[in-house]
Amino acid sequence: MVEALINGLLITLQWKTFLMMMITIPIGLILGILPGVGGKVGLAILIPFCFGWKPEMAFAFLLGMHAVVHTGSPIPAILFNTPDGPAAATCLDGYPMAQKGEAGRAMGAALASSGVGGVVGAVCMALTIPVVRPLVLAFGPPEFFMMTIVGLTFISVMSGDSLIKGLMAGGMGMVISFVGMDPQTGVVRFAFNQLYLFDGINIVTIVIGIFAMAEVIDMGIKGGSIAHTQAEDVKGAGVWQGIKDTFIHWKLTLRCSVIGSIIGMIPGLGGEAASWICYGHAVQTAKDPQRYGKGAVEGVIAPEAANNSKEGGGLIPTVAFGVPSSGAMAILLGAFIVIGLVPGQEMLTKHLDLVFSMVWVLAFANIIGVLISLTFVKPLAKITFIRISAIVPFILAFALLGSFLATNNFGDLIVTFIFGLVGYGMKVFKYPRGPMTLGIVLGKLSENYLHLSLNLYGIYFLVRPLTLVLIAITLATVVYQIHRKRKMEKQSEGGLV
Amino acid sequence: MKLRSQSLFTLFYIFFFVIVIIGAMGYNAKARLIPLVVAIPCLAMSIIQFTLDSRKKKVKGRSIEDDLFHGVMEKMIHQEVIATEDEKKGKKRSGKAKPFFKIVLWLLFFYVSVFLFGFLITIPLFTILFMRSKGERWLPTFSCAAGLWLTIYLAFVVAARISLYEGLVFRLFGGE
Repeated sequence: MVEALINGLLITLQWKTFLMMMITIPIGLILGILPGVGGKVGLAILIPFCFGWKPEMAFAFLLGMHAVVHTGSPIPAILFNTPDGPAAATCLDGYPMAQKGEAGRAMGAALASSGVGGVVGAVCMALTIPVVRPLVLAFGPPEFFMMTIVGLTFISVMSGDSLIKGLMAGGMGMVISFVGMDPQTGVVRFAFNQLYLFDGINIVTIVIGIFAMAEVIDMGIKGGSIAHTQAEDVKGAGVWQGIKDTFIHWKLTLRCSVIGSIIGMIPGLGGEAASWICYGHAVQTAKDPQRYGKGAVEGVIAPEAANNSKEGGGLIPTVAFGVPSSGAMAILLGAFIVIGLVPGQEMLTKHLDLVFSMVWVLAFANIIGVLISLTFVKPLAKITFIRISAIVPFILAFALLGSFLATNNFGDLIVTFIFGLVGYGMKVFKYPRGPMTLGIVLGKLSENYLHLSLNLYGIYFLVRPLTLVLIAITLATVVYQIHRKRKMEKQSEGGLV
Repeated sequence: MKLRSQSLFTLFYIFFFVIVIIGAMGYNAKARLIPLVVAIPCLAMSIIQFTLDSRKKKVKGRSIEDDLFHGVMEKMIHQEVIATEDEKKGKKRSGKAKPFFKIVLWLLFFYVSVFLFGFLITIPLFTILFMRSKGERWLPTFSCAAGLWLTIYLAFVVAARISLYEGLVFRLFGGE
């Protein structure tokens, strides 16, 4: 294990791997600053570049970007009160701090806690691998089938306000994954005699459609600039005080980083949950909770530490079980397929060096990302004022090139266009897009593992001990979700009356 | 009956799952098993969602049937609030229809241009036309177009050595 850890470091420090990481860190920071774009769009755009690359280079390229997306996101949240998902919790105290003239301090605290959180997340990942490894090695097709089912139940967690809409989106994703030749029966399904569809639809083209293309349509409609306020007061003073605050409140930073990492490991719970839970934890454990919401620096440190640490935790179920813990991890799972790797046992046996190189990339990217951000706090914030008319051609060009290069077929562009419209519809009518991605990734896998399990053990695969444990987890997840939804409904009804 | 855009989008799901079920019926038992296991409940949920979408609209009329259906008046008020909010959003959405079709037309222009002239001509051409149509000045427009073209040329053609699709027109003139 120690040897793999050192090998991972050496792989990361190879100049080509390191260069790939360095190229995408600024991209991640910029994407983080642009509200509504985020890491999922970034991953969707970057994955096609990785065709034919060595896995370590490809993952340095992708994780370098993804690790620092949340490092950039607190900047517009603090300066302009324009949060992007997980950074919403940061607004609660970050924006009041900016209004009080402490924008620099808030940004310094946010960036430093993001960096610490990211490194702690990477350490948590490294420490968890030895525990997860024997568990994964005990898994066979029945257990992996049940893991895909556990993953699919998290569609309900990712569904947001409407469970029905989430399940419909997840179901659509699963059906899309069935398009093409079925390896079990040799039947070509849902291809409608189109040769292009015989090999199935490439996940990259769909993901680019439902995320990047949908954002292009949305931006084109809204117009203006991304930030809705004026760029007159972008303050950079007090940054150093904010960095010091992170270390003065080191217990809170560390606690929230660990909590974030654990939440990141739970598939489907997502980044927003991590930041809000940690914000709540900070308020709960504070001696003077009345300061929160009025510009308390701890209210910035807690969610930001959790935001970055959850990425390390999120990689564990993705790499070890092939179960993505979030929408972004579902897209990253697509990258495994593009690169030619199978998440699961192989990753923790044959490719353990690569897994540890991911840990190192996460740690390095977070440190470098924070240093870059601290240097460019002021100009980075101004990106939000670039007009949409200048941003749309850039996103469109890279998205469509990415889609086309998936298989060099014009059909890919048509698929991206269709899914762009579907993705925009989903965005407008509040159909969650995460479950759809989860369905696409896990649909075909679950079917293959089911047929394999039935061929190997018959229906008795359901009574294997580990399978029974996973069935219990699946049922517990479903019951918990139903209970939580009912509780939330009761609370909202009570609040209304 | 006039359908709201929300209901139309749900109808798209119903249509999708119906097509999947009809298509799956033509395969052998093993090949159709999982698609049907997924599509049939999803179709049922789509129909439920469609009913919910339609009901939200009716609530505004505050019919006796609705009162009886919901049981309590509080629930009714809640629904009315949702319906009113949805109506407001609906009005906003109808205002968005024109810009939506505009951006879709721009996208279609991009596609047709790529098909005819390839990526390396379409990208700067689209950037110039799009930015100018949005009232940008010539200098930033040309800077963006040149910067984008250069980035793509250096990243894909020079560094990655990928031959980008050159378009039908150049293929015909090139004699391929």
